[in-house]
Amino acid sequence: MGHSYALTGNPNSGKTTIFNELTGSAQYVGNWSGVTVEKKEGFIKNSKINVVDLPGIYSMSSSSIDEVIALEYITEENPDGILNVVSASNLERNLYLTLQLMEMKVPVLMILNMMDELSRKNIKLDVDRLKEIFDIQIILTGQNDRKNLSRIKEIDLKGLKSNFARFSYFSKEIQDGIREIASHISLQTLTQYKADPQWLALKIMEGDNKIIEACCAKDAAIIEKAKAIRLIIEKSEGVEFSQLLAAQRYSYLGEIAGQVLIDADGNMDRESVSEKIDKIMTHRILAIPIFLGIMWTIYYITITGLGSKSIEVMEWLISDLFTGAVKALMVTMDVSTWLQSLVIDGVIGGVGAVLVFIPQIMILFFFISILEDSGYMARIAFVMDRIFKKFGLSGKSVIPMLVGSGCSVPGIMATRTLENERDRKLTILLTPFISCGAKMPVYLLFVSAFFAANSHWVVFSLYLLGIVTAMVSGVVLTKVRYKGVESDFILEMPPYRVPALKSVLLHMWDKGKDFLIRAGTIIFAASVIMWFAQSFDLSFQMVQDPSTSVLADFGRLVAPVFAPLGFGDWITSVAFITGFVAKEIVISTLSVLHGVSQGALGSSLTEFYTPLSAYSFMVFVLLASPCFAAISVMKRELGSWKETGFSILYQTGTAYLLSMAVYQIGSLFIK
Amino acid sequence: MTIIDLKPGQCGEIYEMTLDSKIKHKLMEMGMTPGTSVQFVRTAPLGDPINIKVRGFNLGIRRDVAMNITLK
Amino acid sequence: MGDFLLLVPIILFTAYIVIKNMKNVKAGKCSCSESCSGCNMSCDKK
Repeated sequence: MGHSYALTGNPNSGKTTIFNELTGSAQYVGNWSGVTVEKKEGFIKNSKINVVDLPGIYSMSSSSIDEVIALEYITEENPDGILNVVSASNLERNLYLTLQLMEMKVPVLMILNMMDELSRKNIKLDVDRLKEIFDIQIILTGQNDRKNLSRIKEIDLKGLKSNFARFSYFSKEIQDGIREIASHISLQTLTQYKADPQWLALKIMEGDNKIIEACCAKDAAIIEKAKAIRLIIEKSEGVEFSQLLAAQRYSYLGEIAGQVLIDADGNMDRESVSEKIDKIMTHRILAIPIFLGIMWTIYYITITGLGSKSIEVMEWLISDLFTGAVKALMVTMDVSTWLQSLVIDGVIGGVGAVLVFIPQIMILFFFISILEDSGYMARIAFVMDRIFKKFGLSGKSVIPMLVGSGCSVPGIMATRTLENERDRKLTILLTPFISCGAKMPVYLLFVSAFFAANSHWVVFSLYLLGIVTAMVSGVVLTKVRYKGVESDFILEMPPYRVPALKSVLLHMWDKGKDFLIRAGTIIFAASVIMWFAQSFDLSFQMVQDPSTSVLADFGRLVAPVFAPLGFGDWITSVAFITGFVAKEIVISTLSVLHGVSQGALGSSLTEFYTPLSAYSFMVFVLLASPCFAAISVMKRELGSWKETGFSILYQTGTAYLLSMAVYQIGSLFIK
Repeated sequence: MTIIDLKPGQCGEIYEMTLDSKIKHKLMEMGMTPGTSVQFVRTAPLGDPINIKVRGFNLGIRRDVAMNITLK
Repeated sequence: MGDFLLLVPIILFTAYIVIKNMKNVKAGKCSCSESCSGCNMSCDKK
């Protein structure tokens, strides 16, 4: 049939899980508002139906980026139907979106999710009545019962009509207004902009600028007329028009809920398990110790516990097993010595240096994904908001930053859930200060060489420095650049849910795969280029000693800039510059340029750095401009090169000053 | 009387919200329309924001917002 | 012979990655994997 459907629903309605069930794709599931930061699509298993996963939203207005994306997709791509995921355990608010979809007069199929959560609350739902009211088909499903979902492909949504009495819940004045405006919308507009005239009339009256611009910016008469009607209604009601709509919709939804929800033991507001957990997790005294305890545990297991074991295993695999085999193979193939060096020192040295840390990065993502899926991340935001507010940010900035501790790219994209434009820009700028998974290998390498005795404390100090720098920058930039509007905090705290192991592992694998792909592509390429650059001199003659190579000449040119930070050698300068491509490349560079394999790199570094300059090195890597991928996403989310350029300069400048301070002040005490 | 005058566990009915129109719109779209019953659940450990319950779900809002939501 | 078999693929692959990534950065298409790969944002189309 080749249909195309759009999947919509509130944040935390289980929409993403359902998308995974439907398409079997490895998309990642989260429990905090707005995990769907990328547009994902896939075919429903065993069918030709394409499903597009729209961002989780509460409403179809144009007040956040996610809402605009969803609204534009439905009005401009005209999908054959909408799959609307509705959480039965939070019916009224979820139906608010359904109501708006019905107003658009698009074919809707309701997927009523969380039926098991509802029955745990001992509430019954009259599904037949709900079907009757909306005159649409409903598919029931729950966290542990997904079999009904396969019925979706048996239902053809295209052209499906509902006799739902849309707009009947609005006051007479509004209904009259809709009819009046709808009758004046020109045929030309309607053929160009394929939307239902009455819905369009409502949107024009609401003054939805995105829609007006798309449909009828030239038709000044109708815009004026709609505005006149809106003003009359607003004056007589004393409330803003869009708020009036919300109030009237909700009062109707209240009626519906009264009709379809039957409370079995007459105690609708009984305390749920989730609320009992919250009593402890957001407890006045316990909340912060619990939060710190959880973060410390995650971090300890990742760095020292499981993590260091995984390094040993990976080192053995790569430097002993793999390198040995490749070397033997090349000898039998009679490969020349210089090419052997390219493969062993260049490719395996560079890529291997990164590969060693991939299990550790995956462990980190495993924990981040549990934080998200369980719903705890929203509580962290709730608990931390007071502190963040002091620094000019919103508690909701915690979410992008925690995600950013895995990788800045999804972290920056997660800022879309921040409604306040100022909060969002500031959070985008500060998220890269939070140490990401790719920077972790750099610390691990250096601490094992210089600070083996108290490695996790040193790494911890760096994470802390990242957070403190972000916070202080929040204050500074609020004063200097992002003046004005205060930050906001409005955040749904979803019920705690046990994360599905399948989706946590999928997420971990997905991210691990990202890093593997990076290792196999750009890090591979960079290592090869670096090997060539350090093997030849300006006249394309192969050199014996890398320090006479082109790369060394270039490095020495830049080196004086970094001298105040504690290193004037060309290798460090090159490492910093390649760090712009990807943070892990810093260690690939060191590995290739020192010409040693992963295992021996640590001891080779001790000849080049003192513990103090090693620390200064790590500080610079932590804070300096993020990698290309992050810069590119920053540009997209900030929407301007000017802002992006400022961020990069600010971050790199901060990195420079702080690591200089570390080195210079440190030198006064340590000789 | 506003939301922050409620004691933990107490409920009230929204009468009026005197807020910036963007925030007000957002809150109303999440179901906080006049006449809706709101329960004060608890205050965050550091005194701000507060956790309220509205139409069956938990919501975190800041004190300065809650202070401007009057109850019947 | 062994030299040739090994060197050509390495060079070609490296060149391919460099060109592809430069294109992606220009287009603003980025995800965590590689430096820049898929993830066609709906908003990219315009």
